[in-house]
Amino acid sequence: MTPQFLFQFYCGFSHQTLYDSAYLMIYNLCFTSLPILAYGLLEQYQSMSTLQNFPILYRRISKNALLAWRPFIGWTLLGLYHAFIFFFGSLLLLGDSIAARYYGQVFGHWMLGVLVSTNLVFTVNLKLAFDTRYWTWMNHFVIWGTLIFYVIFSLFYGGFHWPFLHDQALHGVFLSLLSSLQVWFLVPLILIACLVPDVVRQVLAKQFFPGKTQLWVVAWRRQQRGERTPLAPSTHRHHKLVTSLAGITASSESTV
Amino acid sequence: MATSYNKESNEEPTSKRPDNTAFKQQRLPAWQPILTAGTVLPAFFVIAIIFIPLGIGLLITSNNIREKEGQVYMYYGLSNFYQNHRRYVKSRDDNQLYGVSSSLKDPSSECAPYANNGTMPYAPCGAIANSMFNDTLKLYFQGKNVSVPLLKTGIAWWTDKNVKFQNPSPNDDLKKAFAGTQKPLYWSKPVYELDPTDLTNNGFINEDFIVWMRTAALPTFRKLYRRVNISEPYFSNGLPAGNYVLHVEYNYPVKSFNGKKRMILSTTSWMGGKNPFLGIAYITVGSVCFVLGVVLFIIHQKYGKRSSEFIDSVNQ
Repeated sequence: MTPQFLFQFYCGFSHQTLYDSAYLMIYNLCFTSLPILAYGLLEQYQSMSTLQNFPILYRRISKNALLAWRPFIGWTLLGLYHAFIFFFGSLLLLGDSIAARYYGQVFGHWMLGVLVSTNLVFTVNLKLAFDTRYWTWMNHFVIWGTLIFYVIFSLFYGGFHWPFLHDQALHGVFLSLLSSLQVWFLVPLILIACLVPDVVRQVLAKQFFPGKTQLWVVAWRRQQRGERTPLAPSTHRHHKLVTSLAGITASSESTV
Repeated sequence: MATSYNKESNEEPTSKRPDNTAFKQQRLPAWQPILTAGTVLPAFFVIAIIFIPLGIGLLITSNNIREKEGQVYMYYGLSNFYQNHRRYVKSRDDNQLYGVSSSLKDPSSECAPYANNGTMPYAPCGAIANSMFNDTLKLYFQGKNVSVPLLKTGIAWWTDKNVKFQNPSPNDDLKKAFAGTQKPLYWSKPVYELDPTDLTNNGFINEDFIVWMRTAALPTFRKLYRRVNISEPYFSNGLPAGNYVLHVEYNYPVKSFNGKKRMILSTTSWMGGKNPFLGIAYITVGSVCFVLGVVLFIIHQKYGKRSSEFIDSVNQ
């Protein structure tokens, strides 16, 4: 929605939509719902065997503890960053209606909207793809399927003159975008610009700033192996964790 | 002889246990990729290696677009003209423009107040059509004292000209086809006189009209007006150097909304018009990836050994 808001600065605040109304309606329904549904159902952060052996991990998610403010704000800011990149990336490319196509014709208003929404759909789904750690065939199906569906839908919607529709605003727009070489250069650029922070965050988080779950799993494994070496760069927090961990596992084993 | 179904002895006590399928027991076969520095670092460097030269190439191509050499396009530009205003964008009837005769005589209410003048419907209706740009621009080359030959076709989108916009029937007698309608309020001649010399460029399929109807995204925009005819002598290589005179038949009022008009001459390259943005953006993103790659590499070297366990702890 942020690109929509940003566009208002450029259209005299007249509430002109950036996206065609069909896209608006279908966006939440088709382009983004299935992938996240599959993610929710099928994602496995830790394997079953780990969880069965180490049930203490379930404590971490009790009482919705992970739905905290900090991560939420972090995700929101990331979303805003994406929106700015989509919008201004597309805008700077089309700016001043510089000739987009080889034969000199210029971009139009709906091309901007479709370009922004294309970037949006692809980024959102690819971001989910990066976050998914447990890829079943269903995940492949919904994520790649959604992207393919988006392309096919755009081609159909803008490819024919639909008699029951009052407005044929998007006629030929998607094809026009596809035939513009600049657009083919822009979309991968925007995708990478949006996903790089995501990827960096994941790598850093996993390897260098591991969360409690990982620390516990590693500590537990070391315990099983009978090691006594400290967990990580020795900080007080980690040391406390190990001792409390030892206590908890011992007590849980004794109650079983 | 009906055998009664003896529920008590035949059925087990109903169980809430989910079926033992792979899906319900979360045992679907899966690929479990792990995003580590080892995979990401090479990717970042590859991106940098691809993007930076690509950006430089794009930038050079864009800067090399020599104005006025090759196929030259003439544009008119307007500023402070909000073709993207909501009421404006809605004010058209695409069915009428498609040639549907019922819409011709009875345009949709979206066109109001430019749908009809009380008695006869406007053809074409709507504020977009009504405000069509009607200046005439001509270019004269003083070196040879000739007017630059300009083509007025080939300026609209192919899909627009051949599909989206169609004249109502009969196609060969447009005056008859548009009988019962009148010209829009601000126009000086009716739609079937937009180009009487060329039947494929008259009426709704007039290319200047089509170009105008494709609303621009921003308040400062340009639209393709003419193409230089490169099959004429003197101009086969574009516009030769020398003095030119622009002759403007000034019909279009812009002062009332503080608008400005301009004329632009430009050429294109294989990637479209002159726009350094793409090249600069590629170089920027490539450099950022490179820097991030270097930073990750340093971190990896310093803390790499100690963190390999954490990688394994995810999902095994």
